[in-house]
Amino acid sequence: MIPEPPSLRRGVHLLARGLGRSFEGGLVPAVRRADLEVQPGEAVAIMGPTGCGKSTLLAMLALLEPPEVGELVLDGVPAARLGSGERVRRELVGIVFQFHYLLPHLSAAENVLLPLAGSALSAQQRRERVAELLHALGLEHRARTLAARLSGGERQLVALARALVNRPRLILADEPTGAVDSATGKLLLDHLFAPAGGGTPSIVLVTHDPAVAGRAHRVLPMRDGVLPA
Amino acid sequence: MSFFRLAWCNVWRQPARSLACTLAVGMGASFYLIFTGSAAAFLEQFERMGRLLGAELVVHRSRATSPWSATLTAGEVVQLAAVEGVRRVHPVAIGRTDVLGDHFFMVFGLDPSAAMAAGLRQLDGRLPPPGAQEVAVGTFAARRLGLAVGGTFDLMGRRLAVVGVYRTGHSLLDHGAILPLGLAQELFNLGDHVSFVLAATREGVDPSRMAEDISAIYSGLEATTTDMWVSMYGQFQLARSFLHFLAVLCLVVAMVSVSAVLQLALLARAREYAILRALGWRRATVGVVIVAEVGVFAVLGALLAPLLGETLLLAVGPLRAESAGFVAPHVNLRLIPETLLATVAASPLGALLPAWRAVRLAPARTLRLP
Repeated sequence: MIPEPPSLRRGVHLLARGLGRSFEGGLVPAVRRADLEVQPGEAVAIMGPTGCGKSTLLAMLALLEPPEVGELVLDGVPAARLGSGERVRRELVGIVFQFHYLLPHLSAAENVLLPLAGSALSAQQRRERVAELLHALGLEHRARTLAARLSGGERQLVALARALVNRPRLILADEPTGAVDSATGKLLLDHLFAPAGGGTPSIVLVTHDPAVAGRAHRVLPMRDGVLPA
Repeated sequence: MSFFRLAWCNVWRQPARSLACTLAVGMGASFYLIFTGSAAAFLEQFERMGRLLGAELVVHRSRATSPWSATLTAGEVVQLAAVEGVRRVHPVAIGRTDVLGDHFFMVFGLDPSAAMAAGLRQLDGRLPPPGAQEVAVGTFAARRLGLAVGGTFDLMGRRLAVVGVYRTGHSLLDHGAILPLGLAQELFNLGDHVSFVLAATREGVDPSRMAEDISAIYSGLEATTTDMWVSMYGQFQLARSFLHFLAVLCLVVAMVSVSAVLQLALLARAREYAILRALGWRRATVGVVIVAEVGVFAVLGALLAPLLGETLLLAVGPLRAESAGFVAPHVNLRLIPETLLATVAASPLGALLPAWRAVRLAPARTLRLP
């Protein structure tokens, strides 16, 4: 496991070399070759047309999909040696999906708490952290509202809070503003790039929107499953 | 957010589904209560027989496998009666025959004492005295065969006068008939043999100690206290084991039903479990959520079981009366803790398959599904 930095959590150094992944027994190549390096605290946007393999690449970076070829290295440690994917996601990574994927029968606060299941924090610390995030996102009055009763924009903001609650060192965002209005999208991006609780996480952002990509330090094009170095 | 809280929320999100699961478990648990209660009642029937005759000891052939297949000689009966500390002996001959479709009609040959007559719960007429060609029939046998005091009963080719209708509360006795000992020995070709001997001890004599003494003195005979006697016969144990098996089977069937319902729910919840995995939840933790959910159904179902059991017993009231005590009139409240434990212990069965399927979901692929 990558040791915790002594200072406030800084971003992770991510290095992907020649990542590749296909489906249907190799008949459907999703990512042919992806080479990517993200410096600690850097935000990188990946742009490309639908079906070019952006989401699959993000899934590989989140250790949700194992790459068939290539290597993923985080802070100099190969991902294969980082332990289980669950542990890496629990302790290191925050994911924002294009669709919020909240659990509809839980409240907003309970949804935000989900990544902290099994964490070393006390119940009080967890509640404080959730309250801090919801307050920062202007959702403190909706904390006890069931996710099913939130508006679309509120749901995506809660999903962002859920991604940030474990103070990740790497944030992976897949079209985070794709399903919200522009005002909510701006608020969401503000908090994505400057998360409440401090720290300077590394960010890999997948988007179609040049305006969103423009918030990143670098923009990389991806086409036909290839992300060139 | 603990896994238990999530499981609790899952229980309440679809009340109709949860109610169905709780009722399924409740029915299984109530059958468990009834069957285990009946197993206890079954043994109590035989203990009651010993008490009815005022006997503390049962003397039978060593290594006998059933009361009606073993015999003691008349000489042995006499020797037992002479043992110091024995107040009285009741030789009993048991036979089984077919009577109008009842393949297990039990005939008890014994010479009744005043103590026994007094111990009957109900007696119309009298019991047949030694040497008489008469019969007393149990209340259920009398009802089934249309017999009454003053009538006749054709038993094994012999026409006998019905002189009494009795009720003991003992199922086999109340479904059978009592004959004078000699007549029963004659009908079942026992000669002067008897099936076993019930012995009453003198005041101050320890029945357990007396049983040990008799077993030591007479090789080939074994004496036990009436309570122990019941538990010695493999057939009785088998019947009890079978009832326990049925009880456990009911729980298993209930849990399989819950498993089927949860697997249907899994189709709707697949994406939620994938999300939990994507958020870093361990496979085991996701599985525990499902186990905990079934655990909640188990506890609620077990708590509901006494009420459902009482309702079931009420519904089968007429049948229960015929069973003459084999099926308890009410659920045995002492068995509720055992039922709760057994139901909770069986609950992982209901969770096993849905949990296994949930933890095997590939998060990325599941989230990509439309």
